[in-house]
Amino acid sequence: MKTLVKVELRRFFARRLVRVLAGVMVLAFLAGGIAAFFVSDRSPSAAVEAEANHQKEVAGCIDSAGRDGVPAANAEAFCEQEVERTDPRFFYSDMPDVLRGQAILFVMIAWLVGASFIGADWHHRGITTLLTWEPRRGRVLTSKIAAAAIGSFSVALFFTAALSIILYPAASLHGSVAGIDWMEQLKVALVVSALGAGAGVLGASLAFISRNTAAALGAGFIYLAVLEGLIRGFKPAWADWLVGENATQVLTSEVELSHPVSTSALLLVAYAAALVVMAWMFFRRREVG
Amino acid sequence: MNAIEVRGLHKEYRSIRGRRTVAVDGLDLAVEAGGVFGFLGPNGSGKTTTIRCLLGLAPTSAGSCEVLGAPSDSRLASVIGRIGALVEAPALFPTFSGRRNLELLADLGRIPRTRVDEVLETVGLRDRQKDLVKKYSLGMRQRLGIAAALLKDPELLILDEPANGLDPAGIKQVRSLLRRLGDEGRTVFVSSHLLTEVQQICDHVAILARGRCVASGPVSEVLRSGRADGMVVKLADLEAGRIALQAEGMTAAIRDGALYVDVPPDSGALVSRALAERGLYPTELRPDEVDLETVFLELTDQGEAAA
Repeated sequence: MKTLVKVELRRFFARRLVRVLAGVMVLAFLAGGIAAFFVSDRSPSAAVEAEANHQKEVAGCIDSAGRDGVPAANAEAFCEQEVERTDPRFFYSDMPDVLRGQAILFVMIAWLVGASFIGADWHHRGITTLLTWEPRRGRVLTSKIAAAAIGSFSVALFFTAALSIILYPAASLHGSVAGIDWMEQLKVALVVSALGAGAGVLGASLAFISRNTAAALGAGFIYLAVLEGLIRGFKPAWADWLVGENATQVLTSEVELSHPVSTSALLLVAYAAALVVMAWMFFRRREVG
Repeated sequence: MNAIEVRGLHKEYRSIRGRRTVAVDGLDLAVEAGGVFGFLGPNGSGKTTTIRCLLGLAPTSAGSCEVLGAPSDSRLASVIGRIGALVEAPALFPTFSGRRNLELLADLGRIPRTRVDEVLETVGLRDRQKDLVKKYSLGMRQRLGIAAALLKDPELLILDEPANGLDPAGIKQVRSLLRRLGDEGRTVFVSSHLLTEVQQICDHVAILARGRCVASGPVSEVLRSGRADGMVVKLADLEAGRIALQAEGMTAAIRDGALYVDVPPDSGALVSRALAERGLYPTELRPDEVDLETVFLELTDQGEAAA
């Protein structure tokens, strides 16, 4: 079994899609890092300019007292509180939020690589060859799902690590590295990667059922974008059980649903497990050509 | 013990509307260990379906299959290390090199990398091993598929149309390879429609038609089951020859520019004397040999369709 998983992982990481996506993402991160480097400014003159701008905006707000939602009474206090102070420095301590913001992209990529990992196997009939080497289908399915999970986790972890590393010079040279909570950052990176692993498993399971990458991606899109949207609209009480809501709760670690974060995590695991079982039901007796 | 044993294999497919298609209909087959076994049949006769059932790739509707003594289900795992297989077109990853495809399989079977070099050499792909499979020709992919099947140094080799897409040199190479493997005592089970090839390399054959086995046994025996023996005579005046032979009590018919005489194949002296007595001298006189293609066409009703 270990050998099977190892071989599947070798194939996962040797895939062109995984390598191209990793390359494209690193290039995008580099572009973001360069942009952050030049946009971030910690010079005293930049701070003075930012403060002047802030005061100008506050003054404009006070001038609008009694209009545009600004109360006539206590307008000064209101504006000081409402007008956001902008800081030209890039704070590395914001990285956990940056990672949370990118999580949806990483999870979508994990879904794609998980689905295409199995979809390509069916398309090129690699599964036929594999079954002439390991006829126990349970082992074949388990090894492929495990490889999809480990591979997607690693891809998401690589993205979070790459983004964190690439943005560091911008913060240390042109911004601020004060107040970094490394543990929090690591925790967010692991949570994002775990969500990536889950997405990889869901994508792979759907591809096992549909025997097709496009169908697996389409089913995922229809479920998340259409079906969950409809449920939110017509049955708001059910929203606590949706994948989107629970994934968000796990990602932010802030309790916004009727159950705790741990229940959300368990729910996501249960959904993934249910889909794997379904994939097994399809694969168990399916004819492989 | 037989290398392959199929008993009452029945495989049918049902469409969503409930229409039944019988692919294999009560097939019985026994393949002795050692030698080359040819599995013949026209398109759609059930050859590939049988091979899929043998390898556990398709569940059977009824009947049983055993390969090297193990039933063709998950229990096949106990003998799968001794079986090499190529089912239909080779299933390879096009964006990996030929070598990487083989290395992944070798890792799966804990086979040393030196064996990858050996099989690449055997199928003549050593020079192109680092090229992506998508750049391979059909014949090269087929060779790579055969290399993958040989990786395990198998005791039983199951090959579905291994000569597909190969050029004449490739076909000859595969023919020699299969014969050599058979002579080494391995069992080679090969499905093919290249009957001349099969006749040259196989010790035993089975012919499938509409999911049933219509003939099986040693090649010589199956050939004997073909149409009646006779003699073929060529001479300048065919009509005069026919009259001369009929006068001697022999049945003769003119067909394809020759005279076909319904006598045992060792009756050459009788035929030539009957013709010579009337001043007719044959330019050719030979037994009417039946080849596998003829037997195949007769048994599978293809001859009729072609006519």
